Amino acid sequence: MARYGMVIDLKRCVGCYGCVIACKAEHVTRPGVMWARVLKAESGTYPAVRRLSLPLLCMQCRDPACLPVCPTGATVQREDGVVVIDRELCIGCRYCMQACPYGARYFNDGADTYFPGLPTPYEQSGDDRHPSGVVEKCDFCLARVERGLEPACVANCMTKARVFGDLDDPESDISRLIRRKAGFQLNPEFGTDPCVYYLPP
Amino acid sequence: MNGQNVWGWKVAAYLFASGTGAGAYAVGLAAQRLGSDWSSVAGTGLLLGPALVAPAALLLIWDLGRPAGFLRAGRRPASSWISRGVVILCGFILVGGLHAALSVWPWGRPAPPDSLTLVLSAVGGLLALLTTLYTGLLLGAIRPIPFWSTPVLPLLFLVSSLSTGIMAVDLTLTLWQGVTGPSLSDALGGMRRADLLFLALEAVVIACYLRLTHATQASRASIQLLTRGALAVRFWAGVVAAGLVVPFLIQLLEVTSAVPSAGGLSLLSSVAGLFGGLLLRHVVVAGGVREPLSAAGILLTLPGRARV
Repeated sequence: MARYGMVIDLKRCVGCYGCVIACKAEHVTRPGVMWARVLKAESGTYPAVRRLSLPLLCMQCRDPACLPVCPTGATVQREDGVVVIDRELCIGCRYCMQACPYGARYFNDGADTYFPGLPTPYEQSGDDRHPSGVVEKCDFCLARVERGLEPACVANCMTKARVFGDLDDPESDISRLIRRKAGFQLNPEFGTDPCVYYLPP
Repeated sequence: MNGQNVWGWKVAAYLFASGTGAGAYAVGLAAQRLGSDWSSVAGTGLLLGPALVAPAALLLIWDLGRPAGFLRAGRRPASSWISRGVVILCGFILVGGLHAALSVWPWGRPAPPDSLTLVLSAVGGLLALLTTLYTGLLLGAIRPIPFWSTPVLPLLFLVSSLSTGIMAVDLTLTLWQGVTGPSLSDALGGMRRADLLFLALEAVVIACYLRLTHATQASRASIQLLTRGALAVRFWAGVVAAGLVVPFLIQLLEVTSAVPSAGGLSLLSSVAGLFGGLLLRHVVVAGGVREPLSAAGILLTLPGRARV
């Protein structure tokens, strides 16, 4: 069985938010619900300033903090490591949102629309995928992956900063990248063992 | 750095009401052991327990995204504190409710056998203790928020619950007797002496809580929010002044008989103390700051619900 993972090269990422838009277009998520995000930060003082763009998505942790806290069993981990939420079981208690160190989970209160008034036909097309009152998050675009495609954020990355693949295969591109370019996990001290790795900027 | 905005006032109000109810129930249990002078305290405390915890549980259900599915919250007691809480709350409301009903309304029938009351007291007391403690453990299981992830929090909730439990019983009895009537019976005096102890203990625990959660950047940000930031007025005026200092001084004056125990003053003491207990839960919930992420030596704070 594969163990799906992702590598994001922070040297290649230019912070264009293309992954965010590709994710929005793929999943028709509600306003404020961000399965993919890019955080930006600066450090140092002029002229010695460094700027960092940090793309975030669900880390699909091997030992996810969101899983044991779920009181209904709505959060489950598949054999391929992807953590998914059963919308029928979730009751929207939001304990998992608190437990996730990466802020990857979002509550869809169903209240917002992108434009004042009624949702657009495009937003309505996502209604059946996003019932209100439950928590949702990135699922590595499983529907695309099962069709043999890459996740939308990977396919759309214009600098090819993202690589998707099988972490269990030592010869896969992402396993090699992690080995050769000192790939690291974000905040490993939380002990969740993420399957999303970053390459140093 | 801002506090979390995933849980809001309903969770804080739940923490306060359930803790106060469990505390009042514990006061009732203690009063039952103290003889007939304490019977009104015992009855009031036992009744207030389930009467406060049940509506508090409704607040939690209201806070759910899908309130109708609340029973599903009990499916994972092996791993989730919310599921354990469902078991504890249901148990307390059932056992405490039965105990309160049997001890207050014998319906003209012979008193229930002592063995049954004893079992109800033991089980109800244990469930009341768990009701106050589990909430601290529930918040404590959230590792990314270090302000919550500390063993001092269940202790703080426990001490505060006993104190607000006493004040809830005191307030109910004072109102019952009428605002102007003489109210410092032996039982009320005894309760206020006990509350002096709990208030002093609570002040010590709050001080420890703020001292001991200084280890990380996020917890320092939480403490800054409380002592100097957006929550400072609520913390100093609400939690410290109204919740601790005012009731402590009034109760001290009353038990040392420096002033006659006027109903109005007792009322003020209890109301201020209960208000402080509510605000304590509020500042703890609203002051929970998430640990920032770090990459390549740069810290990035996680925004709340993003707007795009």
